[in-house]
Amino acid sequence: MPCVRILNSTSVAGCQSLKPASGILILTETQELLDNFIKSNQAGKYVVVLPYELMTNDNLRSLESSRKMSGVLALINGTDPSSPTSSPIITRPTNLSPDEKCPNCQFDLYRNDESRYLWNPNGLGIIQESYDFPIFALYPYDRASNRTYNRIISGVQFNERRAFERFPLKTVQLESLMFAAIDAPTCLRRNFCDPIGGHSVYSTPSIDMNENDGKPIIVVSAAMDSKSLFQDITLGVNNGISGSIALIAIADALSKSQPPVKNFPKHILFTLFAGESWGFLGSQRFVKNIFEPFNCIQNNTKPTTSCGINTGNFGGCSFPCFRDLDFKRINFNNIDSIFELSSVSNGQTGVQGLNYFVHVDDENNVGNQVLIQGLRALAVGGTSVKSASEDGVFRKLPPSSSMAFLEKNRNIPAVVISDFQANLTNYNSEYDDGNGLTDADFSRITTSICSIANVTSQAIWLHAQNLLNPANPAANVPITVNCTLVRELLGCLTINGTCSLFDAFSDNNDKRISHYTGVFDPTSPALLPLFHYNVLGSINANLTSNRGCQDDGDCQFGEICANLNCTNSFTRFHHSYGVGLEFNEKGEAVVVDPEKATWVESGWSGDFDFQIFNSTSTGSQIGELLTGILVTVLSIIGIIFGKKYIRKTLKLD
Amino acid sequence: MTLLTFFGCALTAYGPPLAIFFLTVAKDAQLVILMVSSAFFWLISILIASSIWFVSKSKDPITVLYSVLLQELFRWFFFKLLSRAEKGLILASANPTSPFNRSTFAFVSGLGFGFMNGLVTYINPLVSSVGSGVIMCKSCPTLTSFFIGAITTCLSILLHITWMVLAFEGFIYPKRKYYYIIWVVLSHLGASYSTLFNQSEIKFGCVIGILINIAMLGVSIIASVMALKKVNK
Repeated sequence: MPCVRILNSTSVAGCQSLKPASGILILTETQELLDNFIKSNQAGKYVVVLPYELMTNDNLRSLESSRKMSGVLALINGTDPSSPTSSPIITRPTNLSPDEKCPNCQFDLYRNDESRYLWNPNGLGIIQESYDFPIFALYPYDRASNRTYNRIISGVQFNERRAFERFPLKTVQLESLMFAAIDAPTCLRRNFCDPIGGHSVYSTPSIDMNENDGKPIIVVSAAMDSKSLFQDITLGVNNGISGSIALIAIADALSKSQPPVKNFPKHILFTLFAGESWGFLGSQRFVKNIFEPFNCIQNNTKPTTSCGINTGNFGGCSFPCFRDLDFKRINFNNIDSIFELSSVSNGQTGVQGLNYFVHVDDENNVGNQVLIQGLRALAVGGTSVKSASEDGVFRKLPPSSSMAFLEKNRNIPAVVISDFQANLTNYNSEYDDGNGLTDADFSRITTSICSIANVTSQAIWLHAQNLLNPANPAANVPITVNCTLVRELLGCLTINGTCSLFDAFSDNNDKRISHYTGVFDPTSPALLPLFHYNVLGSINANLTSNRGCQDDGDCQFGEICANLNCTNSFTRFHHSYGVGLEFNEKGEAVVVDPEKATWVESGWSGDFDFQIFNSTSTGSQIGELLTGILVTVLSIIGIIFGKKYIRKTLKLD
Repeated sequence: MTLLTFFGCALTAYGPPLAIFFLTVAKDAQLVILMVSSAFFWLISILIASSIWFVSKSKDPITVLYSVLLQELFRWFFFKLLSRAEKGLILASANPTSPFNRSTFAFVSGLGFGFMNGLVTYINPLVSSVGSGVIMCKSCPTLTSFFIGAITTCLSILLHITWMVLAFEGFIYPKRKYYYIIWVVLSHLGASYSTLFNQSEIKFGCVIGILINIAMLGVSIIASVMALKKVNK
């Protein structure tokens, strides 16, 4: 599992190796061993197996300048294969993030502020660095990755037994040729890169919502995916999965309300944004589209090469390319408040009970105060919800989707609910994997998500009826979150790829669902957005028909296909890609605003190659060459003399 | 970097036979043509052997048996063909009166047999030796199988030359010398089977294999020289 080259309009990140890199396998478990290796005068090229904790930029750069390293294998977890019961080769760090200390800061609401609060102080800061050597991850979790891992570790042990002196030694060859070069505009023009992005999903029970109905809108928001250095193993249990599960649980709880929420004085709009870890591209794209006036320049009802979508079916537009124009029914000026669910799966750490924190942009905003106090008052039992600034430090908002809304109107009350107060843990990290997801982890995470979803759903239920009054919280709000659903969703979105919620739209058999954002393809949403589309689509269904369907095209205009039934539901996909990018008439992505998110991912050829084999020392190779020369020279001399001898003995002359 | 291995092995395997070719055969166009046609005969024999293997997927010892016997069969076919053309060939040769013309033809045909054998069996391993890795010889874990293969290839090309000389001596009608023919077939089988030592578990198996090959080569060279001496009498 390699690290991939990523570009934006100003910088290059990730890994690239123009030619296959091979080297003798060596493991440096500790910083001391690594320093010794860098200082040593061992000859030859090595592929260094490095515990993830040691993958600091300094270490990688000094390895690079030592000229002894041809590639790096990041050891993320795993045990000694020669004795499966033994303890892991490396101890799992409690908090490790490859991301920057201030993640996505150049794209957020506070990008022009002079002093910034660093939400991720432990970040290694390697995710935005560019390395011109291959880095692959060692993360055994299924059969194939276990086999690779075992071969590598056995190779390392083989070399250790031979003290790196007695050849042959085990050598590994890594190949990850990326086509990208220079920067995003160049790469897009050369057609070697694709915009990072995907499909956000929004959904509301208010089937008749329109821009002129004047009803205030409560936005309930979460991020659906995550990010890490090695995209295939990105899971993002806390940052990504937990918030989106809480959001679905809230939608489910509210859908059971009597009277139905669609009759409330306020609309409730659920938004799950794709690609938030890449410069908030999902939320910024969505807000941009609902905020700015929209003009459809060209509309063909047939799919065009540039758009590829049959816009006629859904009332979309060919240029600019939109599947449907229903986002226009959401009036930005009607947004009343925002409830955002950030990472909420670790409520149970530290102090007893479940602790959550509410982050706001402006403490003095009356609307924010009402929401904070309302949430705090509704948290009962073992759950406590506090203002993140209750310790006297006001840090403003952590990385969040709400920023995109506040960018356009700083006065919207917006609360970001999270399990952290001051620092992110395992943010955008391979270690944000639920710690291995044992049954105990499942229960802990389920409880944590469920209890905050419960509090939030009650607050939303009251707020949507203008009843949220902190001084007098309604004792009995008839809304509860279904914790069984939370647990099921957690399984589905992590390691139970065969979960029944997938049946409707995918014959997915992967044991593990990658939560990497992926590249933007306007015509087909990826697995994750499809999942949320089906789940939210049926939860917020106004009317479910008994007409079966395979996709939205099988249903009548305005209906969607949710869980194989045509459903009358205001649930839609929304294209998400960097706000600094736009597609032109020909369907080519171009950079229009280099200041905004313009992330693109490099293309590559075929599979990443990985081979392990024996190698001999240079000495023995020189020996082989000398033997060859000697044999040839000797035989030439031998033939000249042999000819003379034969002539003499056979008396030919 | 295994480029050194590549050149080392290429020189070991093909250096001596190339030296023989350029110092003895290359000057004479007639002999070059003869060499190419004998190489073609060897190729046919191995085509049949490989077809049999393709159908039967036989185990190594069996495969060695029938491919060696097929090669010997085609050696005889080639002799039959050559004896028909012999008069013309001798007439066109540089020294039509020499009693060694037939032995020269045999020597050159053997070189053709050997060359084709060496190319077909060893060019693939040689090309893969340019890649990044090496395969170690199972029975001699300090040496690469490329290098062992090179030595074996060189020896078998030289053996083919002597076998052809001896076989021609044995085939000559009317006074057939069966002991030459038997020696050629047996030593061919022995040399081929001894290469199986290379990939065996036996310690220093490759050394045993190479020593057997060298011994056979020595015996065959002495036998050929003796035979040629007799021709002169």
